[in-house]
Amino acid sequence: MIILRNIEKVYPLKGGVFYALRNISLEIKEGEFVSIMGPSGSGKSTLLHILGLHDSAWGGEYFLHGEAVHQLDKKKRFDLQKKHIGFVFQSYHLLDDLTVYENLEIPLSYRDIAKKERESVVCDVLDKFGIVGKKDLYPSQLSGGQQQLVGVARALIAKPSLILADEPTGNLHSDQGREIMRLFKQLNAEGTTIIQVTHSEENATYGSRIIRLADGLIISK
Amino acid sequence: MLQDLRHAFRQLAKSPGFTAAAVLVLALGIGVNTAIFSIVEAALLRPLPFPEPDRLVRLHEAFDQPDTRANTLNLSELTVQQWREHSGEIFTGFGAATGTSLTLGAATGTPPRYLPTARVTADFFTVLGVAPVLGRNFTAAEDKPGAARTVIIGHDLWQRQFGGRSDALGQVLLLDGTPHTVVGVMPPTFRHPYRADIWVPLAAGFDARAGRGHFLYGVARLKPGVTAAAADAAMRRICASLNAAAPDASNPVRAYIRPLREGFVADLRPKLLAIYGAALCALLVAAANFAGLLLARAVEREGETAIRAALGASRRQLLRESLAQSLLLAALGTAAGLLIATWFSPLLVALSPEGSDATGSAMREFDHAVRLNLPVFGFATGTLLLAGLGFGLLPAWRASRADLRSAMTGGGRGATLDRGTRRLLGALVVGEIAVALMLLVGAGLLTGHFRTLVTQPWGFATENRLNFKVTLDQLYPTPEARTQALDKALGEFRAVPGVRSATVTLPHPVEAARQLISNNPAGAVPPEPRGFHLAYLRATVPGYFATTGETLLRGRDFTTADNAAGQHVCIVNEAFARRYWPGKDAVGQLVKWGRLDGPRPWFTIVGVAADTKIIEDPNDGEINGTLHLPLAQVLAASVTFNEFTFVLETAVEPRSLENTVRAALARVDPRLAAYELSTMAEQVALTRVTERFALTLIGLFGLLGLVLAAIGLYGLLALQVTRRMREFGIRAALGSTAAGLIRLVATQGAWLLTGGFVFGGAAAAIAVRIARSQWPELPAASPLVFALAGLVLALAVSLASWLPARRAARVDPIVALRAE
Repeated sequence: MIILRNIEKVYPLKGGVFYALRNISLEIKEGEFVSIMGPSGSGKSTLLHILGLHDSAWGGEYFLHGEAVHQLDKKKRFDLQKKHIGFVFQSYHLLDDLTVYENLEIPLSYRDIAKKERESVVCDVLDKFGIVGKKDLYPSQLSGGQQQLVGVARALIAKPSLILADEPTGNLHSDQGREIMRLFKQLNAEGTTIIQVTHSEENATYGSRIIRLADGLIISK
Repeated sequence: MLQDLRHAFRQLAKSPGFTAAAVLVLALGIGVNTAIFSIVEAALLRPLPFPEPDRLVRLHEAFDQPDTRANTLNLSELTVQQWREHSGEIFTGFGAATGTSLTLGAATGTPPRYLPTARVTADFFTVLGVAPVLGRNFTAAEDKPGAARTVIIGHDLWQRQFGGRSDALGQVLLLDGTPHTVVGVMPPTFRHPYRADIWVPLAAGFDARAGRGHFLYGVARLKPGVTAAAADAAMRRICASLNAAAPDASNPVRAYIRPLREGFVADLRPKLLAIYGAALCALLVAAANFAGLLLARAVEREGETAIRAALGASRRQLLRESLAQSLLLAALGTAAGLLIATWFSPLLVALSPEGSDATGSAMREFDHAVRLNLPVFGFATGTLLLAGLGFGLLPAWRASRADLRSAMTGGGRGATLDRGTRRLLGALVVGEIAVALMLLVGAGLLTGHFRTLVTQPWGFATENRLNFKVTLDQLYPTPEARTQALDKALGEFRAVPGVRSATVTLPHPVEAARQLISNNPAGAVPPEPRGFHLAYLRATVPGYFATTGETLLRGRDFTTADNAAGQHVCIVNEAFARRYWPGKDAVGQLVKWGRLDGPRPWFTIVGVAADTKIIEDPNDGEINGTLHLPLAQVLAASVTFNEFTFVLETAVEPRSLENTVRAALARVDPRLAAYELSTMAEQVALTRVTERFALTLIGLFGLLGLVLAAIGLYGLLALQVTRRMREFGIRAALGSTAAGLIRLVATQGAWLLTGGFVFGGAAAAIAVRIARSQWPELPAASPLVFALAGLVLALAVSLASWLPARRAARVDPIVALRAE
């Protein structure tokens, strides 16, 4: 599903260049649940942003579902991202002014899906995640765990084949964190490929593989 | 889009402070602009209420240079007759009119009432394309000397006098004591020409001696397809042919043809446009402020925007969401602006003492009342779109370029503004300061101009003087009758207890520019081909100087011997004497009335009067001084003078004599009415209405611009300070003093102010130059005006910078660095 070859991310500085990532080559197959780990500044998040197509200033080759990302223009990368990738954020990043229902609906509206169809999809997801009773609440009326549950539901609603999660349990207490990880496990079992960045060894155990980074280099995969 | 609007509405509802500020800023800008536009629309843009009004033209007799009043004259009766006869190839109709006033009800025992009256040719209304709403137009037979007296009345008079009943037709009105049969009623608001309340046929009671007097207002309708240039060429040919048939040096060489509408708006246009320009500047400041607020909002919400982008929102979708918010705000601002305009428009009109002088006389003769109509709403909508789309686009574009990585990591929050945003916000504030400076320079310039105008002495007394007008028309058809009536009235007024002295004159002393007299001082070469010089005419009676307080410098005042049968004498003012006899005594010199080869007599100068202030018409051309003639001799020469102004010097408060004076006039003739009765001080205050109007408004806009620019700067610095609190905390922790932190913020304010001064100063200099080219009376802007405007702005900006700077100085390092 994902093939990276010699990915490099360089920041030019006055005293010379700084390599945030160097010589990253790896392959992630469809259906994997991969955890990226490493100390602060090791390049975990940088790698996640490259995988998520947020960052376009890098060198090397990146294939996603067979598409050579490194050869695509900005618009095609954006279309590829919309089609295949869902994001889960550490700070949930629900939109404060929208209800749970509307937060779930918004990725669909950005994909120009008709209102009727949106209603049906959102209702399915609300039901699947057991949050039908919360659909008219605003994020501020939910607990942290509930907010992240909505965050995961939102990431999944457009049926992406790949979920990228940046410290998804970083702001949750341990019970809530475990609940989210169990959810990820279940989603993975249903066929969604998941890549998470985490500091937690416990969370990493939910996945099928751990990639460790240090100083921008892969030290194990 | 509906969903975007719904979300935008919800977001705005959750930020009432921001919403209120943005709506208020726009409402102020759009409100004052819509109000001013409603006046511009009424006075300058609204077409005259006639079919195909563009084909209607006003005609003057013209000589060498047609673009000044000095070289164009109203039409004489002879000219009207000749032009009507020969201009069939270019005009479908040619009407003429003259203004007068008649008194109503004099013989019925009710108090006489003065009615502004237009004498019109029978086809006058047909040429305009307007018909009575009740009854009929005049017939050709009625427009002949000796015909039965008929009258068409205005809608207001119809309502007042006849309660709007249709049986008003056929009723008889006593006008100047003569029965007139009502044959028609004109539409509501129609009072053209001369703001008339009633219309009578022009030929009725007409005096043949006035054949060469230039007193007729000519209006014609161009044939379809005939251009002004073609009409001008044709009229030249007609004039040449008429002159060849009957050569006369006083024959016009051409017709000065102007669109009818132009006569109503020409003088008003530069002043209204200057006001409108100032209002637009205020709108620009408001819109820049609005954009600044939106930009600040976009910066605040950039995290959310980035999340939306991460969830799949395209640039177009983000732009649309952002624009939905600015459009919604603009719509709310426009709605509030229209409310402000509803309140402000009548206030603007009321600012003018007579209610509409400042907005043009057309408003008094047609349906030109200021109101919020379709074009005004169109303007407001256009402003909405400009503000919402134009000024909302920049912040929206900025918002659509959200940094996704920042959103994922939360890294963008709390950081200082990026350079692009800082520059954009800075440019908006510099723009606001520049425009505010321009407005303040304009206000300063007008203040100086206005001060000069009002502080210049009039040259006559304004205290303890009562003045009013009386019209002697059909009741006193001969010069002798008029002179006797005026003498009798003066006798009555002088006998009123509390009256020290009384005099009569024409025109009114504060309307000195209203009456021009053609003349040829002995020894001066007349300008050709016109054949005469022009001066302001003042017709007076013995004792005029003593009563009005004007100064007679040399020679003598008129005496009772200077009557119609006496020697023709005149008094000139200093300007006149200086112009024609520099360094010599003008007393004893001769001046001829009219052309050297004309029938008017020579007048011997018997006195020299001090100059008085004259509010000149900038289109007058070269007018040299004032020529005083004995009223009796003026009346003997021309019966067209029928409006007289009485001035009474009083020992008591002038207004307290109103009733006794009216009673005294009734003793002279109960059919006469005194109108426009006021004190001289009040009359003087009524002058310069347009300038005062412009000054007030441009001053208001200057103030608005100043406040908005200060708010804009405050907003920018406050946002920056919020974003830099962590930096300030670190600086404080490292030992920076409060003064050092203040300096950091104030320096930024000072740079923005400097930028604003540079651009604003240059823009103001250009704006003043443009304004002066359109409004020649305006003085050049002195460095003092610029300095004062700059000082006022600097003070406001300093205050706006001080508040955020003080907040920066009070930073608590522990609180600011808690996030660490």
